[in-house]
Amino acid sequence: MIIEMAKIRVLGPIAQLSATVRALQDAGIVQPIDTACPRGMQRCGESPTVRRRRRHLERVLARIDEAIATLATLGITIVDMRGAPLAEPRLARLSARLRDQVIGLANRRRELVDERDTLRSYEPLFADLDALLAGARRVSVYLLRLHGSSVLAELRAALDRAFGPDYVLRSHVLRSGESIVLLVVPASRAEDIDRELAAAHVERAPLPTAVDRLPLADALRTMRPRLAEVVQALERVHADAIALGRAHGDDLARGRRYCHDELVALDAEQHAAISKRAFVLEGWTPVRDQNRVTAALTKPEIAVEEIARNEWAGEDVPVVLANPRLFAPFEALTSLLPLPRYGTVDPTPFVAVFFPMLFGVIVGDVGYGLVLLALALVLRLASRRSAARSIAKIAAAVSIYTIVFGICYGELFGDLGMQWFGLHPLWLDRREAVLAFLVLALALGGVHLCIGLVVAAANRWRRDRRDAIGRGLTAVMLALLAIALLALFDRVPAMFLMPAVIALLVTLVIVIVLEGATALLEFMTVANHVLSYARVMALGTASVMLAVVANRMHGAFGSAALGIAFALVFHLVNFAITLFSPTIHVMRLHYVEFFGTFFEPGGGPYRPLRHWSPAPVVS
Amino acid sequence: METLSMSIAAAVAIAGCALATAWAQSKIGSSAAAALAEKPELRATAILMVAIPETMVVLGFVVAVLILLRGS
Repeated sequence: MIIEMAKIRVLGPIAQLSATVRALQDAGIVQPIDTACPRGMQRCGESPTVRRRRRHLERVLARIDEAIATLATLGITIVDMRGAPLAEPRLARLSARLRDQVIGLANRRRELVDERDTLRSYEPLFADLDALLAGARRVSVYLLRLHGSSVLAELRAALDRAFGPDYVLRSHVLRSGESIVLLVVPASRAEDIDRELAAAHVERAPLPTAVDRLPLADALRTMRPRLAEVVQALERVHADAIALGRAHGDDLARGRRYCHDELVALDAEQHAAISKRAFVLEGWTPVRDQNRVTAALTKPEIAVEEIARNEWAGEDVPVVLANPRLFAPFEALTSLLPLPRYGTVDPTPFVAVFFPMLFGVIVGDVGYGLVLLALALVLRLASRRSAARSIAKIAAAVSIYTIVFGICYGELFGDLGMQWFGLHPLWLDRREAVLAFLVLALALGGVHLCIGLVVAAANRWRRDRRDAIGRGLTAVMLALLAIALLALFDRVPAMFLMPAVIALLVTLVIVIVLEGATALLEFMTVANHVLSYARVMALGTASVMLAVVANRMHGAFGSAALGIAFALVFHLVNFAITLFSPTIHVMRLHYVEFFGTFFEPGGGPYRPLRHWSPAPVVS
Repeated sequence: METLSMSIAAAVAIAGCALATAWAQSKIGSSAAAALAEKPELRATAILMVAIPETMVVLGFVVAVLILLRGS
């Protein structure tokens, strides 16, 4: 249901505006709105001082956010922290200093990581390096990068042809698929190999910046100790980042909260109307929380009054939905649509009743219901997220209806219950009574839409009586049409036929007079929507027939084991379809057909002035 | 002969509706996927839009059932 809202007005001396806004922020239950300016007052606006302060806070906040984000890249998570922040000037200095320090650490880390990765790509060659370079004084050393193993084989073949055994080659394949090659040849053949490599367009491997100016042989000897140095330097960077986080993390977290809160409070102050001596601030609050607003504003010079409803009727009031615990999980389904307009009807309670019921009518199988109930329990126990828990509760409600209707239909995994346990339909055998099931589906649709029309009529009675009467009469026409059809097919005595038809025609004329010719079109639309509920029968029949086919499989194959395996797979597929298809169709029946009778979207969300809260952080 | 013609009529009723539904859903589905890529908040509308043409196949199924029941 949509809870009742009150429009309140807070008045006080201008010097108390800031403190009042902060007190309302602490309470967290008032949504400030642009205040109507009484004579002699003007909108608070943004003075140059406030503008400068806003810019200053935004700058500090940007620095803090950048420092926190950069610390996160260094593996340090700053957890949100409540408490007194540093004084503003100190916070500004700290944010600037910390941001620079943290960015410096991040840049240093990036360089070291790049160097370490490059050095590690050569690491497998280090083992052979000393042996290759120790004995031979006059050699030329080449470090090459090759793309693909076939190129390496071609290089070996070319070197064999050109130098015979007078060369040494060591290679290592990188994760990227490239090969790093260390080639040692006699110094006397250096010119030849330079020419060969240039002709073959073989690329020289890049060296880390720290050693790229040394001769290659010296550079290669230097790289191993350099790798150890780089690893140590990285550890020092990480230790520095941890030290920074420990020393100033709390200050950053409190500072971020403070800046956000101050900016929100400055925004809220802009909504006030002010004179030289006083201020007025208006806002929305739930009626049930009105006393808390008064309690939050303790100073005697501050007054709170409720603005009479007739002064604000028709305004865009924020919408707060509050449903009993049993219905609340179904807000997950209604939240997929826009909020209902204030003063109209929250469809959640209706969805909570009819969604599981229609699902149960469609699936109606004790076995599938029990499996679904087990899944709902597992999801409820395993998940800590509120959305998942809501889904688990919806699944539990749906499974209970599925079991109940399964008992009514006498179905347990299709006709398996009948074969094994002698289960019999208490009400309806869906495999045989297809027509009766169709009538049941259409009857459910008629009742569902009639309820929607009656709800719409009751809700609109105060605002637009002509429209309310039109909706009510449409519900009556639907009922009369149902009676006429039942009489036509001998389901009720034939004496009801003519009175029902005459009453239907008379009602139709009244509705057309009240609402115009479009009323006829609307009635046809509603009647068409009733037909749409035939999907309940179609899906239900398909579901039970698939289950029956699955049960026939154990006899359809030569091997009983193979047949049972196929039957299980078929039941699994049917269960998956059962979870998905009825959910979509029942949602559609609600969103399109049922909500179309009474739902009025367009409500704005309730956004009270409150303290900032960060998105959940996984530390 | 009558059973055969009844069966063919039922098959045509549901097959025609199924093809029409498939064609409509292919058009709506691709457009809905494109819209969702830009505006994820339209997911409820997208689901509705894709589900709407299924009314055709549902009604086709009902007509097929009625034909078969009449035949039997």
